[in-house]
Amino acid sequence: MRVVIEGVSKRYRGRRGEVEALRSVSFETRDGEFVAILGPSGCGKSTLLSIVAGLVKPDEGRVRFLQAAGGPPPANGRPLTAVVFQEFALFPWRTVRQNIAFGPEVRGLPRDQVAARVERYLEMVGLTPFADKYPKELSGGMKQRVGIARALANDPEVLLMDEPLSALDAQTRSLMQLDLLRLWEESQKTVLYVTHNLQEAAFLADRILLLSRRPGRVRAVVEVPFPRPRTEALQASPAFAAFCQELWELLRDEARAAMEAGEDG
Amino acid sequence: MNLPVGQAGETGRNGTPAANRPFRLESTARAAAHEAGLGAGPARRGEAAGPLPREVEVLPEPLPALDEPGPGYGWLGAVVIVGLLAFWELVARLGWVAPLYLPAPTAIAQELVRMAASGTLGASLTASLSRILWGLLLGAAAGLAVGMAVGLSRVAEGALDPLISLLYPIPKIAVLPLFVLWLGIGEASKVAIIATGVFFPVAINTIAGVRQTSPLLIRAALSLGANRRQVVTKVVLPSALPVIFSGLRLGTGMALLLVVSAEMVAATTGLGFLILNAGDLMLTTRLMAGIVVLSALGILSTWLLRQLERWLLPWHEP
Ligand SMILES: Nc1ncnc2c1ncn2[C@@H]1O[C@H](COP(=O)(O)OP(=O)(O)O)[C@@H](O)[C@H]1O
Ligand SMILES: [Mg+2]
Repeated sequence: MRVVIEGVSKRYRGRRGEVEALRSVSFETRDGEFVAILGPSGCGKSTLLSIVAGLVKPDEGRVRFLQAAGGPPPANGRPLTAVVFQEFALFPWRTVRQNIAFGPEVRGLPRDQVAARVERYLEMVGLTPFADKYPKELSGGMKQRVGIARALANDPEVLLMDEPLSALDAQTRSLMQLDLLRLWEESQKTVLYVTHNLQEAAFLADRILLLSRRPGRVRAVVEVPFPRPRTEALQASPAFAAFCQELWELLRDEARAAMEAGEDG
Repeated sequence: MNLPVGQAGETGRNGTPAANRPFRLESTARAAAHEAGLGAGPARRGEAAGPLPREVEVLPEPLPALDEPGPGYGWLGAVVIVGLLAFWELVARLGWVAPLYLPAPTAIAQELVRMAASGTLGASLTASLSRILWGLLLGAAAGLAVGMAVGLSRVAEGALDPLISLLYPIPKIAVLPLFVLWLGIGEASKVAIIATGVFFPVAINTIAGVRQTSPLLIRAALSLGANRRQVVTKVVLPSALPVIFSGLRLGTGMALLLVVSAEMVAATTGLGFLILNAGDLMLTTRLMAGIVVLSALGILSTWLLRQLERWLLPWHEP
């Protein structure tokens, strides 16, 4: 499945005037590609992701999903997208198992199928022993693994992740990056991954969509040259450091300007 | 306290004296203090390296320790209650106060047993309980329905929010005579006044609970494919439940208050009637027995609600 973003613009009208979040953003993913969306905070990354998810309507432009001709037609009622949120957004009144079951449940899958799917994704993210715990009993890393399993249990064509690891401590984050890579390599889904961490973008993505400061425009699209499967060793390599430095040079001026304009948040 | 410093153990790996480093590990400081206390005097080793700044231990100002649990004094409460009962019993037994004004606790207990045996207690309890239960059921159902509507729909909010704010502060007991006038002296007026008393806290808390639903969780549900109805039943309602529950708790207190009031104004059955009637007949022991039953009812309802909450909202902190 390819995601095609065509000339998307978005303004928020609030009590204190208008905020132009995105201006004519166009971008096409490839099939099964991992794309990182990188940009200074407040530049409209979350907005772009929400638009792709259908949670926010763009003022101009549209988002299209293109399926390779001849491939299996998407099953009826099967969702195109699922979102993983920075704040986890787990339902506190549902156990881990029930959280993961939410998508299949509201989509009306038969009970036994829901259960089978839940067990599969519990296993995949290694949370089977915690299946009957409530979110408040879990650590941040485990919460986000529930968030990821919950999104995957919907079997979406496109996985949308909005800074999924930003709320985690550095060690948990590094481990989760590896887990994410493994999960993605297994599933081969198209991923849009918002982050403001350029090492993370460089480590995970096939391509990086660099957005300018607000209003978010496409600043650059950078191909990540590292082969897969990627391991931790890559992060320690000089080539990786050099690549990150290049990225930083592209991003620096935007980030500084955004910071000085007080646009973070 | 002056410590000789600059011993081998106090010198950093790179040769800089520990005192010059911004942070010192506590264990190092302790070791130094320990050595000094033992009077082992290897200070000369440090002195050999040249003159070193002398150190003074700076103690942090003691802060009140809030996390120290300290001994519990819960048992004191029991002592006070038992002591008071014993004193009361003594006062009554010795005839310091006439039994008409203050019957002995044991006399009240005997009266309770007598009332239970004769069926008076059962009849009064059944009458009051059925009024409370019907009032609670109707009031809570209406409060929940109206609260959900106002919380979810702009139209209902515009139409009903001002009305609720207007009617809420009216003391319900004051309206009782009006209800009797409208609905007669039978069960309907009593159930209605209780239902009204339960309605407002449940409705108001439901509105508040619905309004505080996290938009993030709604977005999460929508992105997972929930429709509008599912967002309400699977997100808004469970998220509001703890708040709705505290409304129900307030409402239950209100129901107890109102059932007694209503039965005192116009009834021939129930605990309120029993108490008022006993008062009229100067049967103080029976009057007090009625009060004991009422407070037991209060305690029991609180306990039951807590159990219900634990069962319904296992994820919620008590
Ligand atoms: N619902 C909203 N209403 C008004 N303004 C919003 C809303 N959501 C985001 N914004 C504003 O739009 C801009 C972009 O926000 P966002 O997409 O969250 O950026 P990012 O995720 O890159 O930090 C910010 O200035 C933010 O304040
Ligand atoms: Mg964001």
